[in-house]
Parts: sequence; C-alpha cells; structure tokens
Amino acid sequence: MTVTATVDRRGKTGVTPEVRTRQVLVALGALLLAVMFAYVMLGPVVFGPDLVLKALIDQAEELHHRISVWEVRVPRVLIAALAGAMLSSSGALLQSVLRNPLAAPATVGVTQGAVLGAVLALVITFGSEGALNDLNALVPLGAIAGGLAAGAVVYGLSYRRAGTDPIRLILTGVVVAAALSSVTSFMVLISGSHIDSIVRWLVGSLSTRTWDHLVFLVPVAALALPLVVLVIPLANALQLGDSTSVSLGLRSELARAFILMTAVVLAAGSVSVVGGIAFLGLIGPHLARTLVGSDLRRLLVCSALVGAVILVAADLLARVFSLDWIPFVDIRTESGSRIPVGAFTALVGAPFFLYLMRERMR
Amino acid sequence: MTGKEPMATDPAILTEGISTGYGRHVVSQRLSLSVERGTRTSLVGPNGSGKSTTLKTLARLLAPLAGTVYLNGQDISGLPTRQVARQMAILPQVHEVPAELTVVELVEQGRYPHVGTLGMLRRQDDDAIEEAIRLTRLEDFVHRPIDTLSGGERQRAWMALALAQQTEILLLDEPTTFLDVGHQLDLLELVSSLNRDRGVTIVMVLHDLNHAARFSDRMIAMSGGDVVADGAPDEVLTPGLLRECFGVEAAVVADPKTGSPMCIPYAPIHSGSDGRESNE
Repeated sequence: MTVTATVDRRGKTGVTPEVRTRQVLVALGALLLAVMFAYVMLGPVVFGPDLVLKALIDQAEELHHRISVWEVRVPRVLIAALAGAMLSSSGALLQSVLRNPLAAPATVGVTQGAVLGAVLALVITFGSEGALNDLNALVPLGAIAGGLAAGAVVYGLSYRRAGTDPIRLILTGVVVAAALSSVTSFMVLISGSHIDSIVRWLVGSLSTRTWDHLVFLVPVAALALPLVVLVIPLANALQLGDSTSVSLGLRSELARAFILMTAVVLAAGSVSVVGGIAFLGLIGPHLARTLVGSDLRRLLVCSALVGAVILVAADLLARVFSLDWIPFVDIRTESGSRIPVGAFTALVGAPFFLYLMRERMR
Repeated sequence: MTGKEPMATDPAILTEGISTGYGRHVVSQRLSLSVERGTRTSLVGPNGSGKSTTLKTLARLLAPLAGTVYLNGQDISGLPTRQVARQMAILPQVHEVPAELTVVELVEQGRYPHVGTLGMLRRQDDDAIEEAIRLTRLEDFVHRPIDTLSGGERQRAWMALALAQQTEILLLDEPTTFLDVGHQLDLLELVSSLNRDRGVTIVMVLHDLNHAARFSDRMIAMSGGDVVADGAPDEVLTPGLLRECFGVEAAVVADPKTGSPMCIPYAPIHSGSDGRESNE
C-alpha cells in the first residue's frame, strides 16, 4: 500500500519510519544493557565481566563478590533504570498534552511537590530509627503524596468554567513549583545538622539505594504501566489541539486530566525513590523526539529507554568520580557521602538542553 | 451499527432558537438553522458577526447557551461524542502541530472515532487513510513532518485528517485563510468534489464572498449575531446586503466563466459605523 512507501523524514535515510523506529529501539535497548553491565562491573572494586556473570548466576567464588553485585550494584542499577524511564516518560506525556517543549515534571511543580513531601517526612522522622539512611518508608510515601498533591493543586488552580488549558496549566505549574521550592528551602534552613540528607533529596541521589527501595518503586511502576498504555492514544489525539480532539470524538478535558494524572504518578514515583533529578524529564523526551518523532506509541517507549540509559550512565559517572583511586578528584561531601547523581544530570543537562534546542530550532 | 437509525427526512443539522456565545458573552440569540443533507452551505459576514461561533456550536466545540442542536434528528448533546465524530468532522481554523509529527501519523488519528482508544494502539492502515491521502494529493509527503510542509500542503494534511474520519458531514472554519489564491481554489474544489461525488454535507465559514458564492448552494449572511440573509448565492450576494452587512458600496456582476454572482467592492461607507443601519 502506498502509505508505507519509502519517502523518509528528510531524505536522510533510505528506510521507512517503522524500520527506523525498530532499529532505534533495539539499539537503545542494547545500549541500556551494556551501560547496566558496565555499572555492575565498576565500583570501589572493579570486577571483570566473568566475575560479574558468575556472581549474577550465583556462582561467585567469593562472598563479597556476591554481596557487592547482588546487594549493592544490581538493585541500584535497576532503580536507576526504572526511575529514569519513569521520569522521562512522564516528561514525554507532559510535553505532548501541554503542547509545550518546556513542560516537564519539574516545570509543572510535581517534582517540587514530591521533594517537599520527602523532606517533610525526613524532618518528621529525624531522630527515629533509620531516618538518615533513607530506608524509612515514610519518605517515599511522603514524596508520592507530595507529588500527587502538587499535581492536583496545579490542576485545580488552572480550572476555569469549561476546564483547563495548556498555557494556564504550565503557568500555574511554574508558580506552584517556585512556591514549593521556597518551602523546601525553608525546611533546609531550619533543619540544622540533617542538611546533608535533605540536600541529597533535593538534588537526587542513588547512593544507599537497595532492594527495599526497588520493592517500593516496582508496584508504582506496575500501577502506572496500564495507565500509560491507555493514555497513549488519548495523548496522540489531544496533542492536535482541543478542537481537533473533540472533532475526533474525545472528551478533551477528561483525556487531559487522565494523561496528567498518569504523568504525575510516574514522576512522583520516580522522585519518591531517587529525589529531584534535574533535567532528565526535560531532556529524555526531547532526545527521544529527535530519534522517533512525536507519535506517542513510539515516543513513550523511546523516552523511557533514553531516560533509563541517561540515569544509569549518569550514576555510573557519579560513582566513578566518587572513587578514591582517581587522583586529585576528591569531591566527597563533608559527611563522606558520594556525589549525588542529580548533580551530574544538572551539570551536563543544562548545556546539553541548550544544544538540543539550538539544533531543533534551526 | 448503533441501532438508532435516523430518519432520511431529518435535516443533517437543525437548530431551533439556540443562543450561542462564550459564558456570559452572548453572540447570537434565537438562531434557527436547518442544513439539508448533501448541500453546501457557507456562513459569511463581517468580523464579529457570529459566523464562527455558530459553526463551533454546530460542531459541539461550544455548547449552546440555550436550545438544542440536532444532528440527523438527534440531540447532539445526548449522543456519545465518538458517535458524533463518525457522522461529522470539523476542520478547525487554528491548528496546533506537534513538532516532528508526520503526515501519516496525523491522518491516522482520523480513525479514532471508528476504532476507539485501544484500537489506536495499533498502526492504522485502513483504506480510508490511503484514500484521504490520495484525495489531498499528499502521496509524496506521507512521512514528512508537518512542520516542514508549506502552508498549502499543511492545510491539505489537516483536510486529510478530517477525510479519514469518513463522515457524511464536514464543517470547515475559514479553511482558506492562510492560503494563496491557487491553494484556496484547490481546497474549495476538493470540498465541492466531496459534496458532488459522495454527497457529503458541507458547512463552511468563508471570508471571501466570491468563493462562497461560487462554491456553495446556499449562503447565510450574518451580522451582529443575526442571520440577515439566507438563500441561493444570487439572492444573498446583492449590493444591498454588501451595504447593510459589510458597509461597502459594491457592484455585483455575473462571473464571466461560471455565471455565479461576483462582487466588486469599491468604497467603504463611513457613516453608520457598525454597518447595520439598513436603508432598505
């Protein structure tokens, strides 16, 4: 049939978009596995591929290999991949439904709400057992509640007579984000000796993340997945504008609310375990869009993979730079904790985002 | 399919004394219109006359402030919106194009009312998409991002989206506004051929009176929210209407090629600033 004929995007490649999409997704999947494997290899003690494989299939020759791989590196890399995928797909949904290239969990206040929720839970539980190593279940629960509440507040404040609209949502989101950030700053100021723990939530960190955190994250992701599948067609229609989506038979306000809710669950879930990772929710979908275009059936899968690769790679770098054996680079925080991965995504993310924008606006 | 077979004698669209507007801002009151099946109707009028508001209300993009819009004899507000979308497509005036979306990805969305939310997870390769692309002559552009197309090609892509809906009614809100004269005629020819070959009922808002006269069976002239003239083009497009409704002195002659009425405005009337003071 003629529709699938080989007229390509800008005459650059000789393949149909379907084939190209498949190639991109396979390549990204392979890249993700490679980065994850490298992640498990590297650390204070570097394991060769053979040692990693042996440990993975539970044939490690020494107990500390098994512990390093299974108890430290594997759960942490799985959390990085899952949280990165969730944050990035949340950004893709937000950019489509708000029809704004700047939309991201952090520009509509969801990240800030989740961070504030986590910080409040931390402050409340200070002094109690386990509060400082972030293993306290109240912290992720507080983050989820904070993220959902921020999303609901932004939606509610944007609601007028007939519903919301993208511009109002994003303007309200920016204002709510700023207000929530200032509350968090206040919490930081009054928190005294626990400031280090709070700042790592603000910036986003994967250090000391273990199976307990993954056990919390997986159900959130499992809850979000069917929602994501359901909202893909809705978001595809809604990104054509409210009038067109009504013409196509959508109840546009209901669809928008549903898509936003899904994006909020994804973002809040991600923040609840790794904190407010900067720029990933913005850059992941942009990068994915340049690879597979704007159809959300492809864009969401690609955004998730890109987000996973970025967060795993960024945390790999954060860990490598935190190692003792790198000369001259002793950049640990005062209390001895590692560089938070969020510091890396912020450092690399900002210039990279500017570069992406320059390329795409040409 | 739905079991509620509308009567063949029902008009495609019927309103009885509806009020239109936005919230507290009333644009039209007691508006009664009946659009017969298989006809081409143009809504014309000066800026702010309420023609676009009327079209949006017929399209259910706006709820009437009072009264009911009937689609094929059924209250449109009581019908599931997807069922309406299988009967009536709308080409809105302003389009928001997501960056990087390709023509075929856009046109695919036209199948939404037919296959539903879960159905749209699959790639749609229905004949309707192929036909919509062929009718709009977009075969060479199917995989091009819409934001790389020219204005004329872009409008054709949105037209193809509406065509892929395969509806018996098509509403168009100023479809020619941003097009050059060649693309304007091109689009209106396509609309007319849909009407002629498939019996699609057309209602469109047009700014160009001569185009409206040439490509419609019926013209409805609005001014200040009211219908001031309604009928065949040669009954509506008169020097009197142009004076009363548009505030211009104009000559109306027969188009030398098609014979349809054609106006040549030559001077604005400066007295009677709102253009509604009739001397007739």
